[in-house]
Amino acid sequence: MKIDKSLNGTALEIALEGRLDTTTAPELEQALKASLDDAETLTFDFSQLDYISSAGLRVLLSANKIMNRKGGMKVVNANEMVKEVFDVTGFVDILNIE
Amino acid sequence: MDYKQKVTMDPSGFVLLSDLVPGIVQEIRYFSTYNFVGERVDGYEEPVALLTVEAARALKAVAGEVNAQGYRLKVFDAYRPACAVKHFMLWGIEDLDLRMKPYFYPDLEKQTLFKEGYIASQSSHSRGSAVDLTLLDMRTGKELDMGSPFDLFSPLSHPDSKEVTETQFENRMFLQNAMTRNGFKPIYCEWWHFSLKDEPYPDTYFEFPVSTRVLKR
Repeated sequence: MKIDKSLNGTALEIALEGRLDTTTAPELEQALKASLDDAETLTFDFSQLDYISSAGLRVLLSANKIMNRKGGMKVVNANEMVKEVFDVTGFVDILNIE
Repeated sequence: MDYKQKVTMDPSGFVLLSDLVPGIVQEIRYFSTYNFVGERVDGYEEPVALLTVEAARALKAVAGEVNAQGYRLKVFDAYRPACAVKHFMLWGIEDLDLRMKPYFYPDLEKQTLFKEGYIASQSSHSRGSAVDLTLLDMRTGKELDMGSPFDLFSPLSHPDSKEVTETQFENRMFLQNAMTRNGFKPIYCEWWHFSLKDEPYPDTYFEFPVSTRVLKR
């Protein structure tokens, strides 16, 4: 999985490419740990994300918890499969998905 | 796609397949733990096949044709509740659960099953007019050799696979021709899957469990 971070002022954008699964979720966790202090808002661009596992969902959930105390978090450009996963897991009601 | 809105509980258009086709042989795999998930799938309360009346009638005609030639229909799955499909999705995101990989998707990574179309959030089975089946030879009591087992997620299971023997291909076509002659259509990736062309509920996904009790209400 490729993680592409860009911080614009306090707006952090993270674009993921590939699979967010048990193997790669810890990488994202580390990347977030290193960047969230400087961010007021967080946008995940999932246009190049092919797959998300339950381990990936857990990382999103903890990031969402942190960002809820700040300026918020949103997920954009998720493909149909990833959207379906948000749907059946109920994440559609927890996350801000555009 | 809206998972929540088009789901209904009303089983009034459904029948127990064995009521209409007494000669049917059933091996409802998602009631058993011998399936790609490795456990009984949500919504399967009994090992029975339910179908819409229209699909069951069409299948009765198929059964009559193949019986005359010495074969029986053997059904692996028919109506599948929407909650079962949700179970498949939730299984699909557990990338460490590879219990059944050697048997059902040996050559595919689990992470690609969604992308390859083997798992989706909605299935034609939940509309009640799709069936997974094979043929049983009455002389041997065995299934016809189709070149790959039911639910093997692999190009080998594509009905037109060039990797199977001539006999295996002929067996697939024997099943497919009997089904298509009677109003069913095949699918490109699974030799065992057929759905009724003129299905009675093309936009409705049903949610009631697979059980005889729901039909008796």
